[in-house]
Amino acid sequence: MSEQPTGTAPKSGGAATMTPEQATWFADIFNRLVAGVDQVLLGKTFVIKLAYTAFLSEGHLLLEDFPGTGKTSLARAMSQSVDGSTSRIQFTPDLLPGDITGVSIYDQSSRSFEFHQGPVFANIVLADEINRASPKTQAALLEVMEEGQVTVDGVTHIVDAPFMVIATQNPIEQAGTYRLPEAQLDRFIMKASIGYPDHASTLRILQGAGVKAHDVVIPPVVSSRIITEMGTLARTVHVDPSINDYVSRLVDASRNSDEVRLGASVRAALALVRTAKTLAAASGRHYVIPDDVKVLAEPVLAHRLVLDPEAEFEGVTASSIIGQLLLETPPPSDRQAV
Amino acid sequence: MLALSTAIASLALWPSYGSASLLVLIAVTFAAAAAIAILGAVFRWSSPVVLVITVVAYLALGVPLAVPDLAVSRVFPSFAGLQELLVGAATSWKQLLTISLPVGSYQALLIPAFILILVTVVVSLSVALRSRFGDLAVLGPIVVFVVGILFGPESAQWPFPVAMGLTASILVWLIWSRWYRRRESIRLISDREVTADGQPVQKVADGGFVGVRTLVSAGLILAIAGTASFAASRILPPTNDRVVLRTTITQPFDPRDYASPLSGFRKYELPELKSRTMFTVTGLPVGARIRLATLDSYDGVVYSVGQGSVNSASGAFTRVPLSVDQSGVAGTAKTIAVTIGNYSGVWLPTLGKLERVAFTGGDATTLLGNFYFNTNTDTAAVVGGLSSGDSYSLSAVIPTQPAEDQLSQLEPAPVDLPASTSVPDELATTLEGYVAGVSGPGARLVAMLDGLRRDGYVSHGVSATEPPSRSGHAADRITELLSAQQMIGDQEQYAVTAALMARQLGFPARVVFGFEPSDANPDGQTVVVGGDVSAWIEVSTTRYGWVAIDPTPQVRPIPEAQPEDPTQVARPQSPVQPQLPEIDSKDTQLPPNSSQDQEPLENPLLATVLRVLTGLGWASLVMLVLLSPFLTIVFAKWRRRRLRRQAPTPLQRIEGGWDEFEDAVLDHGFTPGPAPTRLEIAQAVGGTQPFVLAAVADRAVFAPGDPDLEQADQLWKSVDDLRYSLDYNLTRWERIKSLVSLRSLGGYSVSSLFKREGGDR
Repeated sequence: MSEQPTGTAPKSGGAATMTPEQATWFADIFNRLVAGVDQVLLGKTFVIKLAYTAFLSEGHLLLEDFPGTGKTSLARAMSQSVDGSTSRIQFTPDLLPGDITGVSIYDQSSRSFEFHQGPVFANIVLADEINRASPKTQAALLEVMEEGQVTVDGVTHIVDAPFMVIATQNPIEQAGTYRLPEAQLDRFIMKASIGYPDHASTLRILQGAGVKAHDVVIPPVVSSRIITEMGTLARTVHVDPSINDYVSRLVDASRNSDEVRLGASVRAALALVRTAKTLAAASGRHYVIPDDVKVLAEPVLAHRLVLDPEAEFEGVTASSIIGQLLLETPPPSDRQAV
Repeated sequence: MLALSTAIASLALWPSYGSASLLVLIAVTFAAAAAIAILGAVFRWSSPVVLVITVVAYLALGVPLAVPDLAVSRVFPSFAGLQELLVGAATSWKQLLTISLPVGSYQALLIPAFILILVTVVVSLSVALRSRFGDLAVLGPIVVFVVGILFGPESAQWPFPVAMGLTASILVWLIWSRWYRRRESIRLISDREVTADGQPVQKVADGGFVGVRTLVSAGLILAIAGTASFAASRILPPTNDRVVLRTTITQPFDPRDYASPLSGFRKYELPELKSRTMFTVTGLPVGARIRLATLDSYDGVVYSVGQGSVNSASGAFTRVPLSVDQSGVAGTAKTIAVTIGNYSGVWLPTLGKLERVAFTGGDATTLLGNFYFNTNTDTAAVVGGLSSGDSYSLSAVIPTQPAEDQLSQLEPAPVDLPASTSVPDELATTLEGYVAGVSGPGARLVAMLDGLRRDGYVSHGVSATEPPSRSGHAADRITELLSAQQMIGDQEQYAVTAALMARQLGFPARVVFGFEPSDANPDGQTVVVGGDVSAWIEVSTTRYGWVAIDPTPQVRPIPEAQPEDPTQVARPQSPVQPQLPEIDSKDTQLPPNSSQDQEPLENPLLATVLRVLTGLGWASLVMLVLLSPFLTIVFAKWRRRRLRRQAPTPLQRIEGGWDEFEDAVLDHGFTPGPAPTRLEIAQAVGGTQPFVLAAVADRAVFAPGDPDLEQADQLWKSVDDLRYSLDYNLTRWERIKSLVSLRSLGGYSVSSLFKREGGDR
């Protein structure tokens, strides 16, 4: 990983869609990024892939997990691998919007208000325990996540590109928390859970216990420019109409399920296709296959569903509903005529 | 399902019994056997315990159900009944095969049905409830069905509905059993997952469509087999009877073992028997004729009983369990009592249409056991013969007969009789003279009888005062009767001549040998002596059925015969050889029922080869019908593969190629899970090759641009390799199973509705 992140994507030759060569280049970079973070977060390759997929899809990631599972390590490792800036915001009930976005302070020497950027002005922002902040503060983060800009005192400040928020929340503690509204949940392109490492990974972590997590430094794999270029390239991955049809049927099914009060939105369908494109490119393909959709359906759709109270009471979870929908919705096997 | 299948299978027993007793037996026995099996399963009785309890049930229920006549108050077992039950367990099977069907509840003949139901239900239900191979329980109803057919009559009763009904019920049973096991397995797995992980049970895909697919597959097999069988029954030469055990069993009484009673006609006219008492009859109506035997087969030598074969309509003698149903016969019911005197022989003297015989005296049981009857000819026989002192009472219906002047209005009714052979030519010539100018079958019959009565004279030729009259009724004797200057004979010759003439006139006719007492006493005892011996004919008519006619002329003085002209006419010698008599092709045509129409081939080797080829042909045909559902499946798969391989575009060929592999995976028993992608199917199979194939197919389908023909061909080559590789490490039986598996066809026709949207598979 000592290799300096230089280089650029192969030319497409004027084609509107990604070429196989570009897909190979994309997959190579992607794998190097994943391998880098994998050194810090042992045995969590899938989650790392999901995180980078969200990153390269220009989305934001919500990690719902217990304390001490490596959420912060993930965010820091990702920012290091990208040769970008990172910041961490510990959300508390008394946190103010200005603490996130930044504030304008009067400079007596220049006799003018000078804008002091908040922690949100970084390539990767770790919003720790986001549900502990007040809704007003959460809403301030919302604008940045959606629009990539901050407006303070009528002045708009553009955040750096690439930009990604990795928010975390604790699923156990409910006291003194403000549940994220559905609209804000919908802003996160996917929600994942790191979970505890397996036995072998735990042993490896314990063997390296002498080294602090903060001491591990990952050399940058790519520059921010390459990440932006990869995000742009991922949008050009070919999606057959039959895949779009499959996504549409999945989303429809979520809306028609008896156990769901509010199904997946159109934004959810778009997010699913967008992330599927990125995952396809990450796999070295310039086209999406149904397996990409199947893999991403649960992380992308589950947190957007609002369950029927009775079903929730009976122990049905959003993940189990998505699993059921995937079993009931046949994937396409043939190309669909346009 | 066992009850339904057993009930349908038991329909095969109905033709053998045809009585409400059978229904009671089946219902009660099934309930008892089911109770034994269920209790055995609940209390985990060992096999010997179940066996002992079954034997106890056999003894407790056997008498009232299977030998009801010997049950006390028709409910409680009696000692005699138990004896019969134990002995009948071994002997009743054979008795059932040698008796006329249906038998009702006669003697101990319900015992086979009782044993069959009791044993099969106990075993089947025990297997279903306790064995790992519960599906084997379906063999129980199948055994009942097959045994019912084997011990049943040769003519099938509702064969198609019963067979299809049984097959359908067994298939539903098996499908239900499979579905139940699957549901229980899923439940067990689900429970285990909760215990192990503490996670909430996730929903498992409902296997309902699997049941639908199986049901449709079973229905398809049933429909194909049914259609093939129906088509085969239409295409193949129709056979009236089926071959059952009864067919191959030689009945104990074969009339061909005995000389024709008509051959011994003249002995009764001999002085030593003529006035001796043959038997005495009480209650004999005036003018009644006592039948000894009905003869319907003439071969130029002798008129005999049932010459064709032992299984012919007139040659098949069976035991009569109850009474013969004569309710359809118009006539007068009579009951007579007969005591045998000096008569001896196997033929039992009877009257009219026999309804019932009850032997009396010490040998009654033996005589009843040896009693055989042929319903077609109303001829009764007692194996071992009758002897002096034997007695019996007999109920019969004496059919209404037309008056003498009504004979001319008779119309012949067709009856299947053995063909007469070696009929003398003079018969036709004489008959032609009698019926010349007469029209109408009845009138011609009367003209024939009038002719015989007019020209004929009666002489037994046994005393010195009687003109010579040779005994016998062979063709030469009939020729002599008809060509002699004077027609002299007795009942033997006249009856045979009249019967043969009547047949030439179109009337099915037969000769009856018996006694015709001249002084019958309806209120008292009639002594039948040897001199009362007689023979007459019966002709089949549309209105009266068999009509008895005595063709013998009245006894009257016989005029002196003219001396024959001794002058011999000398014929000139001719050098020209006399022309060989032209063989009339019509004359050489044998009647269809003739025993000579199957003349053995001269070359025995050729005959053997032909026989073997015929056997092989029939065996192949049967195999073809049996295998038709499987061949249809193989053909359907072959056709599907061909269509896929020759699809119009390379892309469709690639899609079809993958579908072919996926179907092969299904047929080989892999279960990729519901709604799988290509990679998931490849994962279910394992190995690198399936993954490569899935990736190639996915690229062709989902990547931009169209694949070329070469790619399609390469993919099909890989598909072929993979299909063969799936067969590795499989036994031959497993390969055949995958070859005829319906899983992929079900997927093609049914589950595609659920599984795949669109697509042109």
